[in-house]
Amino acid sequence: MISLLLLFPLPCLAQEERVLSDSVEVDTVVTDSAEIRQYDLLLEVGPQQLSGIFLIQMKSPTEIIGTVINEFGLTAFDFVYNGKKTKLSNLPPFLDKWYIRKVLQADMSFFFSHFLDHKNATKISRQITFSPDGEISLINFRFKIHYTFTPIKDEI
Amino acid sequence: MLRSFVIIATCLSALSVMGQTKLTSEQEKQVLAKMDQSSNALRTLQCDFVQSKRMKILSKEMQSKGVLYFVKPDKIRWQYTAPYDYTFIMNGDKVQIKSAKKTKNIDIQGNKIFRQITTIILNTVTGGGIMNSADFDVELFKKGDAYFAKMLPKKKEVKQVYAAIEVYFNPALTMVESIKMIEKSGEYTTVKLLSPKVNTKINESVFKVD
Repeated sequence: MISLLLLFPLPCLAQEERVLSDSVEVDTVVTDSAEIRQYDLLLEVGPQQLSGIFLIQMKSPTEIIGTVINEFGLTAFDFVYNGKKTKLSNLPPFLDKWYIRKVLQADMSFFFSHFLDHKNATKISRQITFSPDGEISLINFRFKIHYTFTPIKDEI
Repeated sequence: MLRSFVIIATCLSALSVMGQTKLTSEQEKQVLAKMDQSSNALRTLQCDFVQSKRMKILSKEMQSKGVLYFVKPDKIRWQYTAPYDYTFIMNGDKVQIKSAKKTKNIDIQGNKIFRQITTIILNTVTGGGIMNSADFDVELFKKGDAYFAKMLPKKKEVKQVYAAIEVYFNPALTMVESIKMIEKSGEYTTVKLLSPKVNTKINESVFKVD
């Protein structure tokens, strides 16, 4: 994934958003400010695949914090979304490159800007789709990155 | 009076924080001999495990659980069963990773990082060969009745991520009880091995790499 992202260090373009009308009514909208939601994350970049666990918590109606870890517990990165932008932190050195940050931050911002209302949306460069079973798909067309978020029940 | 109390309290609190003593070279020899004996006697291991991840950003510990199968020298099945499905199988030079949606096969001979990961897993699960590891500087400590090995990574790839890996043994030094992986950020993951069954027959099919 790193080497593939290396090939695309171009700045993301600002694009006009076109929100699709087919919003999906699901019962997974975050309402409890203390609640932590867990998702299985599958990240596909061309033939490369990475999996991990995506955890998010609402700190306020506009602030979302969270982290991405692999199944063995190793942190990939933490993030804070402030209602407009996402800031990443705690990245290991091999991920802590400006071009990786830039793509991930923009993708996460797009994800969270649609996460609360669960409405499918398409831009020129990205698309987010909410399935009735709670699965969320995010595609970054420009860099050919496909994120799939599958809800995990918090039970062991 | 108050001053003396503060000094004593500070000393006591420092002692309880430390609570661990580095073994002398003589003690180290004895402990290593016992560890080697136990490791050599171990042919198979089957157990449950519970993994806890302490994160700085979230006010919660992430927990998962699963089962572990090991057959000497190089077969491991590390399977998470809840709250997510994820299976890591190593069978000789082959590694298979199964997640809920994908299955991936990796040849570890051609993959330096995976070679290191599998070596770490083998060393930490069995407790064998820890002191001979070329990838870590290792120190032995006693904490209460139990012993633990503190492994400090030497290789750049591992060093970038982990500050140390601690392998805790039971007081009798016959089994690894838990593994603590401490990241450079200070976050850590603890894996506790539960209900171990040693040297029982394990069906080969659990290590099948499709």
